[in-house]
Amino acid sequence: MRVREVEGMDPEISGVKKPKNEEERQRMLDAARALLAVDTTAIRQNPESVEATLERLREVHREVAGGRRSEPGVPWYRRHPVLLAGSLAGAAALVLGLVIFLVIGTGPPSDPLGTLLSEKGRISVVTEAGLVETAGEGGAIEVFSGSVVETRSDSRAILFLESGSEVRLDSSTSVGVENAGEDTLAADLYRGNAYHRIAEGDDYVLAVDGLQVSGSGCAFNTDLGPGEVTAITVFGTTTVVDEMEETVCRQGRKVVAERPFGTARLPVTDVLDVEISTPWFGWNLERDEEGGFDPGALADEPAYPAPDETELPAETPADETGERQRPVEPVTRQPSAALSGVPGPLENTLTWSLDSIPAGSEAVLLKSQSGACTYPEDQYAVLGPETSFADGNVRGGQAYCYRVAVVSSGTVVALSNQEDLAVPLWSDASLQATLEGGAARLAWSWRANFEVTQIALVRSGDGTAPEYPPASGGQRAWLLTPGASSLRDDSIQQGVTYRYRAFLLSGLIVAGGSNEGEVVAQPGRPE
Amino acid sequence: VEHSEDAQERIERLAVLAGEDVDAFTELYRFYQPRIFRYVLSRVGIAADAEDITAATFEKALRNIERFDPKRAKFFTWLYQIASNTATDYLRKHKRVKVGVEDIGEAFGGNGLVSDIDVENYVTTVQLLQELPRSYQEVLALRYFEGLSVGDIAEVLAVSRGNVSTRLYRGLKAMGVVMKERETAAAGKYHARQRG
Repeated sequence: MRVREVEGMDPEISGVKKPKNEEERQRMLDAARALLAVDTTAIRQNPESVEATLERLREVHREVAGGRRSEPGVPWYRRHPVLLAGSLAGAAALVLGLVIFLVIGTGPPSDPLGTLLSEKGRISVVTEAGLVETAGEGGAIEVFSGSVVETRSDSRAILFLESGSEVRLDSSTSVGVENAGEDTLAADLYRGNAYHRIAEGDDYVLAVDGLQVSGSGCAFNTDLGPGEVTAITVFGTTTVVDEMEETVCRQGRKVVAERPFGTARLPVTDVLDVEISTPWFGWNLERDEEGGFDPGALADEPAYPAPDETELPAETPADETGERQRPVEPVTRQPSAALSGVPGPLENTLTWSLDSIPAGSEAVLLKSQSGACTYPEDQYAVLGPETSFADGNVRGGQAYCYRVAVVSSGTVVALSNQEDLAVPLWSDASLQATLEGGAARLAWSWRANFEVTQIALVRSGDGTAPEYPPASGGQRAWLLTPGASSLRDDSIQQGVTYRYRAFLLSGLIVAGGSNEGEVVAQPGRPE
Repeated sequence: VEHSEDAQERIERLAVLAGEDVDAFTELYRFYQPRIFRYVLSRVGIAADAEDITAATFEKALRNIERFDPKRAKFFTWLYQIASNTATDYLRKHKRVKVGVEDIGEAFGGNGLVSDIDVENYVTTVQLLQELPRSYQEVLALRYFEGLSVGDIAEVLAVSRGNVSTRLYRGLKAMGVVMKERETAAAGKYHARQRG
């Protein structure tokens, strides 16, 4: 599918420097537009040459496939003495394996590395084999080596490792975990923000886009942002290694690796005194206290509201029963934004509400296909006084995420929840079949919200319903370019009823189809 | 080249069968041949040579199909990787020739779907691309002509996503500069004619 948008350059180019001035930005946009203006879909290799190449490739196939098979007449062990030795060794190993199996039995295929528990919202685990398991709030999933654990935009989770360590995942976070042998656990932070509480004696190495953070008996937080990677050592000591050097970080230090060109394989650029004052750390502080862990640097910070508390209404005053004793403090309302969205085949409808927005600020709609929306990279539209927006720039089968950011003097003062909307495939196709001088004439038209790469016109002459790929020997298919809109079928036989249907193909997928058209070829006149 | 999971699964299955089953290989060839040809043409700019490179790409893929590992790469990124390497080898061996309409026109011929303006537009853009370093050419063609995601391009070129983003960014920047230079040169010629 061609890239359709150039606004903001290209949504996939991330983590790079901004153009140094408007003129440079404009020139880059012109270049992107020039590339996108070229219609390459009409380019075709000469059909004769395509077929000639295929013929040659079929010969190569025979040669290659034949080479893999044994030549007749010569025993295989004469031609492949190494294979003979290997086979004998393999047979011996099999026998040995069988003996071991019979004597000591077999254990489970592998032990789980830990359990992922949802603290809030839905979570998922993608296994090495590509299977996906999900769980709702309070649910747990066993995690095996090679899996990727994930939270969504509105969820939060804790991965309890068998070794006693914990990895806490903020919203929209993905972490891969793998047993790297010799009791070493290798983790990868693919996106988002995660807090790692590593048990004493545990060997844990986290890779985060070019940086490696490791430690034992420590706690650290890693955040993979669009412009930088940060690693904050919350408790104990960690070692941060990049391509250039190794940095030992004591408690309360933050390492920043800038990614101005989208690559984190850059030297660590800064080591700062830590400044942590977010609900995320507040929640981790609570978890540390509950777990009896040393909160380290977090304990020195002022009390934070837990993430959930920020979303809850203010506590009601104590009633007469005296059960609720918490004093009521004056509440300063923070700016906030809430977004909801409904996907549609032709447009996504977004509705938002803003609260306590400071004067002079503006609301910006963020849109991305990367799974996470960030400001300013994913700016899509500046929102006016209205409270809804219909985004018609969508394609079927694609998923988009949206957020509303309230920006004041270049700083985000409020960020809404993220809405992930998947646009369903939609098409409307109609076909007409008529008899025209002993031939069938087929004409069709279609509209679709996805890229149609080919039209498959299928004819059935044996009473079966036309299907693509053709389901029976009595069916025939024509593969046509999307621009084709009619076809004359001269190959019909008199007296036979033919049923036709046009299918819209997107790549190899049948993504839509027309109604059926029917013609009955006139029976031949009696001799 | 975005596929649904079903299509992706089907392609990987075909790729696994392709070594033994000629029909599976034929299906893959028919599906990917137009895309590979289109990509190679944008790299080398001469239709006849693009045909040879496309054929060589599929032959290499066929001879090495057992090395394709669906766990490590998608089939189409593996195929684009072979095409990219084959085109790069070709460009190393051949002196750079300025591409003209006649070299590319035949790739548009026969289907009657495009106007001369489309062909000229394509040629002009390929000429612009050819003035850029090869590392920029390949990412720009894969991204904007072929529509590959940054992640897939990274797989094709065996580099990091960050590296692809950087090349795209710098490629667009360099192409913008070349376009500006052309505009300036054209304006200079125009004014010289006016004065003359």
